[in-house]
Amino acid sequence: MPDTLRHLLRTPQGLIGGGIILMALLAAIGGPAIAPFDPEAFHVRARFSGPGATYWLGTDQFGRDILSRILAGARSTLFLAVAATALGTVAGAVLGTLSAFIGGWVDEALMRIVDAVMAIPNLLFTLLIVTVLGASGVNALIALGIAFTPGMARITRSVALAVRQQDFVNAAVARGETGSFIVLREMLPNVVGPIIVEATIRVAFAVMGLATLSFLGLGAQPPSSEWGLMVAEARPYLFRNAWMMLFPGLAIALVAVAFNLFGDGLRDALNPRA
Amino acid sequence: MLVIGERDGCRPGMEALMDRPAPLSRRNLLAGTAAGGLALVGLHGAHAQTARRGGTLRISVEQAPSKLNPLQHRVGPEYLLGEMLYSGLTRLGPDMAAQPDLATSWSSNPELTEWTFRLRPQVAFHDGSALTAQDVVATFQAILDPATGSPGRSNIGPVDSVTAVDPLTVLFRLKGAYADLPVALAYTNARIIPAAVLKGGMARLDREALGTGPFRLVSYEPSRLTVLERNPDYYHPERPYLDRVEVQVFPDATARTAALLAGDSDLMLSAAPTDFARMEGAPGVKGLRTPSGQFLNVIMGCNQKPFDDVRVRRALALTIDREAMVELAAEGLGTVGADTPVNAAYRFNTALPPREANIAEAKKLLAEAGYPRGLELTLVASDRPNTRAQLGVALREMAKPAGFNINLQTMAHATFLDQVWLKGPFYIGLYNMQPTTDGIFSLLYASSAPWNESKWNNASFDKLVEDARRTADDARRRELYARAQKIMYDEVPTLIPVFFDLLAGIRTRVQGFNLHPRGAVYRIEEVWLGGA
Repeated sequence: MPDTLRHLLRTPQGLIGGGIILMALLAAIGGPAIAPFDPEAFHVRARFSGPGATYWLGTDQFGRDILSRILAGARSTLFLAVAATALGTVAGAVLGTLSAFIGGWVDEALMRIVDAVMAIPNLLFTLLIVTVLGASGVNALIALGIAFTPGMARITRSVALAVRQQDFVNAAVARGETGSFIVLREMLPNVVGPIIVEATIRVAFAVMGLATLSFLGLGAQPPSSEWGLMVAEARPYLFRNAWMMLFPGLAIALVAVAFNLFGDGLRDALNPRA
Repeated sequence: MLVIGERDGCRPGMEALMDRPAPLSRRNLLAGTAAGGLALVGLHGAHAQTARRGGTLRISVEQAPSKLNPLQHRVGPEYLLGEMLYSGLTRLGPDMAAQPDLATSWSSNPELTEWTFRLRPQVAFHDGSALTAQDVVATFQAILDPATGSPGRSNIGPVDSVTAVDPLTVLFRLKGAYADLPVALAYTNARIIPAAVLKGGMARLDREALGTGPFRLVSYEPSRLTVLERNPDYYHPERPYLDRVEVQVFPDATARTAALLAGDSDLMLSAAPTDFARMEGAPGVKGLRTPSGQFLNVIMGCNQKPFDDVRVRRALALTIDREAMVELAAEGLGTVGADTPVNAAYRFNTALPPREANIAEAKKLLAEAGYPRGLELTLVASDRPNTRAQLGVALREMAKPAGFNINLQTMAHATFLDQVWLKGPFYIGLYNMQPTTDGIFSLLYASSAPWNESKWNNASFDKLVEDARRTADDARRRELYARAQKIMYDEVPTLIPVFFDLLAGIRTRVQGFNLHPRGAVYRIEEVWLGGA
């Protein structure tokens, strides 16, 4: 792994992406501690201020400090995005490997179901799930996780099919190992590389997907400082104080780009031939 | 402070246009411009300009007028259509007094229990049939029939029976003395419909409009565009001045303002406080503002825990810094409320002492009510207009130090109306000003109110409101209403921290439009389009 890391940091994508993600993680962990103000405190006398000495990124319609809110929002935004991706990845990876291992009509049936689900546009599918579950941050996470599962299952299966032909799998079958042992201990560790790369890139989509849901009022609820919600709340005030919309939007874009770059770097590092 | 000051919704130009039908012939127009032009401009400015015929007025509204049947209207855009397509017996003046519409005059017996209305002769419905007293009788019977589901049922006064004395005279017999009847009959739902149509079943009114109003229906696509054209047979010889009216639906406030600024609409009937400043500075557009009795209230289900305890409700009321709330929720374009639904915009109002925020007292009350460690609550706010969520977030923050832990839940407006409105225990409502003090009390707060959402059901309050409506003497009525207001102030069935000024936006070429404090009176037939 240290070898992979060195490879990763040698690529410019990996370095930049990793750097931004590290900063975002720091904000997510220590955000409330380093924030200059309480993210929910009103400053009635300083509403709609632009960037300045006191409020570095300005204030919103209640006079809440935007910088503090973005820092506080990093936690919910990043945590939800990573958790949604993890959910989709684990479910998809297990499903894909299982499908590849069992093969036959089970494989066929699973993959046709995956095809059918993937035929529905991702956002529409997420909206459908959230509408059924009800609007909240956790439900948005679940919805996004479910929406990611079919894609991950497909990718995992294609890699796992190749692994399935390897001698060590045949050897395990010959040893009379159980199906779950072969799937979880023999095959899964060998397909994990491509999955991690895919998952990293998916985090970027998750950040944007969650922001979209919150923007539509189906994700985090006010007064949360989830970034998508911040953009949504700033919209009516676009002409009063555009900074309210710009900074959280920028934060979303930055993190999404960072995860994309990091994923690219990781792919190169894990696959030196490319 | 509850004093709003003089109602400035009525501007001099309005009376000028109302009382003296403007000369419209080309010769008059030329003469006026050539000979009297200078003098007129000097004396009256723009208001004395001659109303011009023709043109299309594009009005933008914030939600779809989903019902066409005027008896069932319940939101602003529907009231707008109702007023343009139909007429009532009376209409509401800018001073909240009754003015003639289909009725030209009215009188009552000394006990105020029997009212006689004389109808305007030779008025035709859109299908050509003539208006008679029978139509009026049939309409009011339909309104009073619970099966119709008309909000007007409890707003048109204590009407017992309506009978036709002769083809042009209608007699209203009341259950008790009611001085407000001519005002009450101007209610938004009391639009006269042909008796023949009502006899054939009301379903027809969901697709067609058959009124006596100044405009006729051309097309009706509720969620997008409704088109109306001038009714050449309208009873007023000159009006309406416009050939055509288009009602455009723009659910998004920013898009609505953008359309007005870009000249894609001429009149924006409701402007968000956030957009008001922006309109003031734009060329060709101006903002209109009038103090009103419109309010946002926080409904607390008084029939269930924890709000069945008056101390909890009073504690929450005491957490609010009302001056700050006007700033936060209304962008300063409003006035402070004292948890009763009437304010200085009404004819009968007694100013109550403003409720100051007192966190220590609120904490004490909450502890006495059995919640020494605070309360966890979920407050529902629909997403339209966004002032609801604004008020919710501000309330959450203000109530926090007193131990109220409020989770705010926003939802789409349609979902809110379907699932929460009139049902939920804790949500944010929005109501327009009603024509009379009695009207707002019996719409929302009396035990028998059709929209009794707080389920407060206070017998002594009911009694006072009931007594006041049977009282002819103004001073005595004022006193009864003052006592009713005081009970509300002490019992806090709902929180009413802020009254909102009504805001609208208009292109400067649109003439003759005045923003009415009631918020459901538009008088589009008096509007005309100036040059440029």
